Amino acid sequence: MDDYKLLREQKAGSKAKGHHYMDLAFDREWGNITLVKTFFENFIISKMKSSEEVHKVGISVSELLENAVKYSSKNGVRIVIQNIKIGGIVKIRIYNYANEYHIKKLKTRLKEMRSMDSLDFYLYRMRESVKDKKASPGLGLARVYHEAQADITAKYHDNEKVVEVKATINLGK
Amino acid sequence: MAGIKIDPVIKGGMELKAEGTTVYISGCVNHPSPGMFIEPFITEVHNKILEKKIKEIVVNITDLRFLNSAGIRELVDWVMKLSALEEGKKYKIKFLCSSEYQWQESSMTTLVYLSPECTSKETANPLE
Repeated sequence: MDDYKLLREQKAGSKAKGHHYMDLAFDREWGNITLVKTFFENFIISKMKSSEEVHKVGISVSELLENAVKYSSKNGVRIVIQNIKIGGIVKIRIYNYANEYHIKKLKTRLKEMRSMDSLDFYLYRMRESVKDKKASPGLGLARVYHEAQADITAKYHDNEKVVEVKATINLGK
Repeated sequence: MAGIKIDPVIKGGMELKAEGTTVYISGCVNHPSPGMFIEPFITEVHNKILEKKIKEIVVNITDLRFLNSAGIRELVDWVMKLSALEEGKKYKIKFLCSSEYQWQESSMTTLVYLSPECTSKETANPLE
């Protein structure tokens, strides 16, 4: 069976005229995170003018992919980046297979995030991250929210078998 | 001033070393569990600082291209450990950053907010 089949079936927006669009599925391996991040950063460097824009996209790709690789319940991760354009509103969507525990955790984290501004949420997660060093730090979403000033949402597909995390980054800000 | 010397640790894409009153962290940290390497090193640094009664230390990260969130947690842990010390034992950490790496501006500024009385941040090569 194709590990990526269900991930690829999810509608991920389309390519708008004058904007760049990328859609990539790969195996859930830690080493792939840096490879994919570097690939996207190099692509984006060729399209964007400032290092700040590249950083915002790069940090979002890296942290969201780390989460997907860590929490995916089976092999396969898909990433779609839409609206790559100078000063544009870039949308990054990450799809992975999920289990009930991680979906519950994600929902809680997003609810906490919406109750605070990005700096407060990052500080809150920093303090929380050291309370249990055996657990995952749980800093990734806070970092994307604060460092990339991203709006982060999640959708759950196919009876919550697939989770889609979307980061929307306004590069014109 | 008495300093510390700790042999370099080169693992997981990073290099950690301490010379005098400066700790150097460099490389690119993408490892899933960088705490395996960073935590024992920081514990040794922290203990030696207390032993030698050093009051200020510089953490030079100007050559640290990337630090993932698991790595950030190790620095948070150090800062929290420091701020929990009794007043007479506390020391100051100055993070020396590079404007070349955007993540340092946002993440290290936030880290300093955790304990502004014990930590500060300086940019080695500020942008004009």
